[in-house]
Amino acid sequence: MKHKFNLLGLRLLVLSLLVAWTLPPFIGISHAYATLQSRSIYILTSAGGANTTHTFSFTFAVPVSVASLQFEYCTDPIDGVTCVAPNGLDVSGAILDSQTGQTGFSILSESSSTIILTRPQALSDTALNTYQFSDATNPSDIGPFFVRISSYASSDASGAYDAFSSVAANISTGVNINAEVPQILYFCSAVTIPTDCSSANGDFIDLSSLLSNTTRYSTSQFLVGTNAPNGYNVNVNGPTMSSGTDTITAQTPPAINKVGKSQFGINLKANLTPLVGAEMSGGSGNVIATYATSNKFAYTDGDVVASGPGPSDIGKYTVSYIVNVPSTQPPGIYNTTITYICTAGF
Amino acid sequence: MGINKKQKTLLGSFLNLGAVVASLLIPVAIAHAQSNGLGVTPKETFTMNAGATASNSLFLANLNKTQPLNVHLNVVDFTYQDESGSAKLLQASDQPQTAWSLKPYITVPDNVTVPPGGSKQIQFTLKLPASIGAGTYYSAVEYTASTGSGSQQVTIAASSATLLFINVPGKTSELLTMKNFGMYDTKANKFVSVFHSQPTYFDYRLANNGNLAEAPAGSLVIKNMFGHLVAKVDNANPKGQIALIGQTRRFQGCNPKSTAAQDLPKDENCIPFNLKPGLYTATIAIFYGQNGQPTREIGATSHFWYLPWSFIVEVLVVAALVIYFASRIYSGMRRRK
Repeated sequence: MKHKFNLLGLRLLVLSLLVAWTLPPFIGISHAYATLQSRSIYILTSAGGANTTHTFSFTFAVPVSVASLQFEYCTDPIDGVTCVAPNGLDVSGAILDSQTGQTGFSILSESSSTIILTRPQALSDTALNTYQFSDATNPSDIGPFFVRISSYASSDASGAYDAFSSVAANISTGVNINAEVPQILYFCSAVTIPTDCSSANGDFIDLSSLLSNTTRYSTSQFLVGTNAPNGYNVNVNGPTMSSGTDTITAQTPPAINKVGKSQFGINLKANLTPLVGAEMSGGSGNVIATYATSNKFAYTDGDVVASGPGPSDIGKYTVSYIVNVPSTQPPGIYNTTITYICTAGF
Repeated sequence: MGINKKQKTLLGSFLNLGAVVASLLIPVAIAHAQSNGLGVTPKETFTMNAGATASNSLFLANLNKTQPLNVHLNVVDFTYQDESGSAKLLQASDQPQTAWSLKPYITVPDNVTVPPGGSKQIQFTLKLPASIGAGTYYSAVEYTASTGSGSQQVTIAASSATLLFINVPGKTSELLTMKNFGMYDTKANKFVSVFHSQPTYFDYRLANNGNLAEAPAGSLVIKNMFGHLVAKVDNANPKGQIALIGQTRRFQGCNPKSTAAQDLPKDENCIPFNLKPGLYTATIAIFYGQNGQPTREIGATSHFWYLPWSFIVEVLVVAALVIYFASRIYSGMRRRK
């Protein structure tokens, strides 16, 4: 009985240690503070490096004693994480143009990335406060930056803050627009493209006679590349082959080539049955799954067939087309126009 | 009145002959006379006040050095394909205009010809009515390279587009909702909570129920099981991805090798985090809001394990040794008693 108790105790000890080890320490060391509500930043000119005006607005969620306010420009908005100033930012010469709501502030100190305002301590209300600073130099890098706003009962922004929140802003154009490399999306489509888009040749595919005992197949190619950050997508647009009201069935879902069946399909792979096509080459894009299985073909008007998730060098895609008709296919001139539409990602 | 097998064969042969004859009527390859190669501005974003009129230009290059590029321009509405950043052009002839369409406000030329190897700045005009509401309006300017005759069997045409976004300042309705957040395995293409190799990516899904196309900003921090900060990603939206109106968008960020603005969007700039085995907490803070409009914040937390196989083996070996020696000691104690 004693041994059983000891064994149970040992098991409980091991279990307790395991639980203690696996549970995350949700209890952190922090102090309580209020958040700022209805907060915003307005940048008069959002160009990188511009000398402009920054206006902050916010309300206190609850009344707090306020003797100083700190505006700290950082590359991230997170409380308690060391602030890294955005490149090129300079608010060391910023001028406090106007203030509303909680007023009576003057500039206590400024550095390239921090402004501290001070006043005699007073209890805030929950009305809107605005502080407008001119002669502030924007960060130079395109993209977001953050301003951590905190209020203190001390007159020099020392000690623990009573209210804290961040605001986000965005630099939309570079310091020197003339020196920027513009975003561009390159795209060409043709029957053959041996090297680059200047070698594109042919804009129609001759599939010859459509016979019920033979698969007709051919290829076309497209080249695509971009320096746009969100890459590209290529859609295939157009109806299946038709002659008046008679159509050849667009293959969906992907299926193997079936001689004697009404079937129009494409893929962007090297195939063995029939022997047609090529793998994508160059660039960092990829073929969408529906069209990325060898020997399986599909066609749906409007489908995305290829995409690149980010900036990509020129990539070459080869599209294989197969057409099968049954013996009952009404005679006629079957044709279609397939438009490859390339758009940037967003 | 059914037809027999012989008649069927005859009919089939006749039909095949018909198809053959028909195909013989198709013109044989014609000389390619027009370029199918375009270089375009992929995306443009402008801010315009209600009631304002502005002119600007879009870049169009002919990538063919020997043939002219004849393009037809068309303003087309677009929306999202899925949770990615793929635009779905709404080209159906009976397509109703979207609520965010720029069509009523933009004027572009119908046709443009660009000489071989050359480029053009295509002028367009935007005229917003004074009564237009604040928000984002977007459409695509589509450039379709003219092809020859459409009577060939499969005619290939190339088309590209510029996605045009206009933000109208004012009191907007902005609302993003966090749907998912966590560390992401791009090979398995899913959120993962146990990694056997160093994680690199984190994903989050935001539903946009406002009337602005939102490009949120934010940061990620990773803390270990003792609450210590072990990793930080300043820019949680390094590609400046956008959630269109009504879209639930999947955003992806990663641990960047370089934080230079020009490197952040590149896929090759993503490197694995440098974590020790254990349990981690990832916290993301996302901010959004138009310039001058209230900044809104949403956050999310996710826990994940980093347990490399080598570490698991080590733990199992140590545990086995501990159990072995503990049982030996325990047995010895029992014998002594």
